[in-house]
Amino acid sequence: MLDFVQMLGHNSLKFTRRLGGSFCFLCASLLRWPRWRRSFPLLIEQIYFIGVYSLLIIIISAAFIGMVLALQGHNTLEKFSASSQLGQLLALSVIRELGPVICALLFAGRAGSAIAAEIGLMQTTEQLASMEMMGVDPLWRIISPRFWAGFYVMPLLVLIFDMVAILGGYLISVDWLALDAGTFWSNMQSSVDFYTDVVNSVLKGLAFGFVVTWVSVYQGYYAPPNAEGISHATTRAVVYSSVFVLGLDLILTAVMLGGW
Amino acid sequence: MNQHVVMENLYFERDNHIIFSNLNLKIARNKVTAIMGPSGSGKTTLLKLIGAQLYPKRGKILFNGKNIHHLSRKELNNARCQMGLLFQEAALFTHLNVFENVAFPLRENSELLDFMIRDLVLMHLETVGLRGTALLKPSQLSSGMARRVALARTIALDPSLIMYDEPFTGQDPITMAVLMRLIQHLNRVLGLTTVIVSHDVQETLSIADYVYIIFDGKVVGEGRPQKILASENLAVQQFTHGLADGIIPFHYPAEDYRKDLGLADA
Repeated sequence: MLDFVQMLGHNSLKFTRRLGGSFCFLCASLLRWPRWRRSFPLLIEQIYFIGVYSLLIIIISAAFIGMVLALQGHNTLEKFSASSQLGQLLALSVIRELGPVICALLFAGRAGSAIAAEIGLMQTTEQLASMEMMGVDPLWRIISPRFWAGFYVMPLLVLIFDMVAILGGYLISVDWLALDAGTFWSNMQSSVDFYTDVVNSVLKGLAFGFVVTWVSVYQGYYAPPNAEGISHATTRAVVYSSVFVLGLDLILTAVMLGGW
Repeated sequence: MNQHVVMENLYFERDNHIIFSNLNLKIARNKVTAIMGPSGSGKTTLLKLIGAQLYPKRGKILFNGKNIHHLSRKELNNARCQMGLLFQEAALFTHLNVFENVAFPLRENSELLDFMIRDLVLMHLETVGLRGTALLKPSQLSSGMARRVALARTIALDPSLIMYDEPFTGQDPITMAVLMRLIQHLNRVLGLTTVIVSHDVQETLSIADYVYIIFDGKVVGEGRPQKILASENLAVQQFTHGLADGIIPFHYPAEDYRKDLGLADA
């Protein structure tokens, strides 16, 4: 029993220390006086690597998810003779939940793992140490642009995901299941509110982008300098990001549905 | 001020293992100082302490008379621009080509125009004999060439102190000779203070002005190369003559061998 309490205390302290460490790391990365002329090209470069390279997987996944959702939704709604509500079901499911959450999970798998592996490898091969010895702060030069790029890119990816998923659902609903296109769009239009649905979706995207990139850069930066360390850092970046995204989604949804 | 770097009573430990205990060492300006010792004696750690990538538990390191570990971030970055560290594995940026690697410190730390940076980079690459590799990626270079590119990058900011971490390890005789000539050339022509950390006795002693031998966290021998070679200190003798038996153990401390093999009662 005493051993269990001791282990619990030890792990709690370890977790708290890591949490504090990651927060200090975040502050150290972000609270830098920006050098706009140099920072802007680095940011654009990272937006390209993180955002544009994630587009394909986001678009393909969104199209399939929208299509499957339309099929499943139609199957259920048909039992209640409510197939005309399919557009509404599709839009609200995608915009409120599936869009931000699945997009964040895909983003963690594609960009988060890449960020952690890249930074981890730079650490292992002493590239970050050599940068430091040239009087260049790696937190400013390497970490900060990746962090901000992830933060800015995620909401845009969420919007793209939402649009493609709805279009995928439209194709199935109208072209395959022969629903009336006018009914599909008008029900959707009447049920989706710009502020409570679309803006909240974007806000979730911002929050998830923040969490995923924070976890990924931290895991990469503090990866033990060996092959196993990079492997663990990459895995942890994806697993921790995914868990944090799902947990944060619950909190954000509760806040948003609570009349915020 | 004749001393470029001064270490006073340096104490450093890692994972409860003492690396340096009251280490005192001085690096003279414009001279080639070699820091030698067996593997695991903390030579690379010493360079990282000078560059303030590691912090000692006690004692101080003065760089140009200032305690390097008490500088603000801005002052530290400025101090680091005055010192160059050539890493053992070159540490080139793998996503940049050779030209951009050498241009990196110039772009980051100066306001020079592109055409000036281009000329400087080509001049530094010419110094190390690799101007023709400007457009190659680091993965296309041999380890010796990568180290020379790293040297060009290190001298790009015209540092006053340059530190070499095991520059001769794993080099073929030609590359080794070229590197030795380059180190001497840079020291004499540019007037750099040079620190070489190495366990290659012959090569290092042939170009060093002053030598420190460290073992067990302390300086066990120091002086000009001839004095080191004639030293009567047992550790220095064993190291410089490559003797298998002596006070520098070959085996890492471990449990009794017979006991480990289960032969204790035999």
